[in-house]
Amino acid sequence: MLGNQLLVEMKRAFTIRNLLIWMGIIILLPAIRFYTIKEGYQFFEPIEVFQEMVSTIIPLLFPAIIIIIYLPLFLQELRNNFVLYTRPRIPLNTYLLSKIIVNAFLTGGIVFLLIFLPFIFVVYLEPHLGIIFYSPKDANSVIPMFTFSQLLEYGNLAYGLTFSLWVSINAVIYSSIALLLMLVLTNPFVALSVPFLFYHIFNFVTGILNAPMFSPLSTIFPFNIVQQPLWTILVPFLFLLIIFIGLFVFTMRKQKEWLM
Amino acid sequence: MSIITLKNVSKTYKGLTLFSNVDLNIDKGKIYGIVGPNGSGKSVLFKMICGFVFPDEGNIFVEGTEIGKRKRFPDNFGIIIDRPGYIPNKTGFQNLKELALIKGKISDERISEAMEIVGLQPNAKQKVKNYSLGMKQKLAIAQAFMEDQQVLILDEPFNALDAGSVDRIRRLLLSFKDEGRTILITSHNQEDIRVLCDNVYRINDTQLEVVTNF
Repeated sequence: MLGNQLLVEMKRAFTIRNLLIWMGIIILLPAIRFYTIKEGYQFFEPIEVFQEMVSTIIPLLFPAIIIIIYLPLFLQELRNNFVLYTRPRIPLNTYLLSKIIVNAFLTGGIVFLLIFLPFIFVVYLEPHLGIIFYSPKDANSVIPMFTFSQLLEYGNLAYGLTFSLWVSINAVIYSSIALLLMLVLTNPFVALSVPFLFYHIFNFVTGILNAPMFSPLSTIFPFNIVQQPLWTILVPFLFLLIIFIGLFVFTMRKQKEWLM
Repeated sequence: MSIITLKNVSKTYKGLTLFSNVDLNIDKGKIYGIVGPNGSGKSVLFKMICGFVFPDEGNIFVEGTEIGKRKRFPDNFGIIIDRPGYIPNKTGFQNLKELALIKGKISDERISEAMEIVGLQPNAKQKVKNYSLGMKQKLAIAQAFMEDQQVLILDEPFNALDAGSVDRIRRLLLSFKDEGRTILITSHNQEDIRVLCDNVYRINDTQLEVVTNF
């Protein structure tokens, strides 16, 4: 039953409107950023261009991007009593589990592509196209190192894959928190705004505490601070994970009140 | 033969005691009316029968199987409870198709047929967000029976329908009864109850009372 419902949910999610939104996220956002940095910046290596491409716009919009991939569909269902009419056809647990899985799959996949496709383009394709001018390196050249740059010693691809996976895992947890909150909060708009608020308030608080290395922004997209040990990224991540697990347990315990 | 049985059911919902030790037997192939003032618990009664909420005490059996223990929700129930449900940015046909896909047992032709039966046009491009209340109600009725559900639980099915549509749906429900389907309805319109129902119960002071003159 779950297998069939996963297929149904996937079919339902692949609408022309959603495909356009997803294409916009995957292609338009990095393209705009690439266009703005292709001139006026000094680069020595393609990896720098990639790091510049996935900073600024994408980190700023990250909590908004992750909730527009799939959750608006569920929002429409909740607000218009549609879920009630699925209940004689499929157990509510199964229906919601299919939503959680499809949301995680699509959000994770699209965010992965959002990071990984620019990486492939900049590191492997663009050098053949010659759009970016790379300055020759000399003794005074400084190539900035950020958190995750440690992985470059295993090769560019290892770096690109690991970093893309890291951002997509964070995206999955943030959007899953929003989805679970939609089940337990009476106002789904509040639920959808929680990841945005958490992300930016946590950034603000870590800034005040003079610990930017633990801010969500600087651990998911670590291009605004100097290189940190890799363990630092796990601090806000574990905090987020604890929130997610706590919320999951709370949601399961409130099961009787879902959608009543 | 009882298709639905409530035994000593008690239920408090959102702080209000709605039912105390209620018994009810619903026989197959009949239309039952449930009447009562606003807030008396008609929708909660229907939700309990569908397994959406559980009684605090007592048991509910559908076709001999207790709801909530071996079975989480009854098969083959068509429902309208509270208000119609829909996805606003899709057409009526697309809405029914989305529901039908879950079980995957009916064809597009059957969906179109169900829409035509209630007086909706399956090929119309109009999105449900632009439907009138009456059209949304018809869509809800269509989803309740399109998969040949044998028990229909219909909370105020005639809400917002014009006189012609009321007549059409009444005839439809009577034809379902003739086919042997079982129907539970609520309606604030005495005429609906009088025309359709074989048996009527009134919710009064946490009890279900048989109404003899309706």
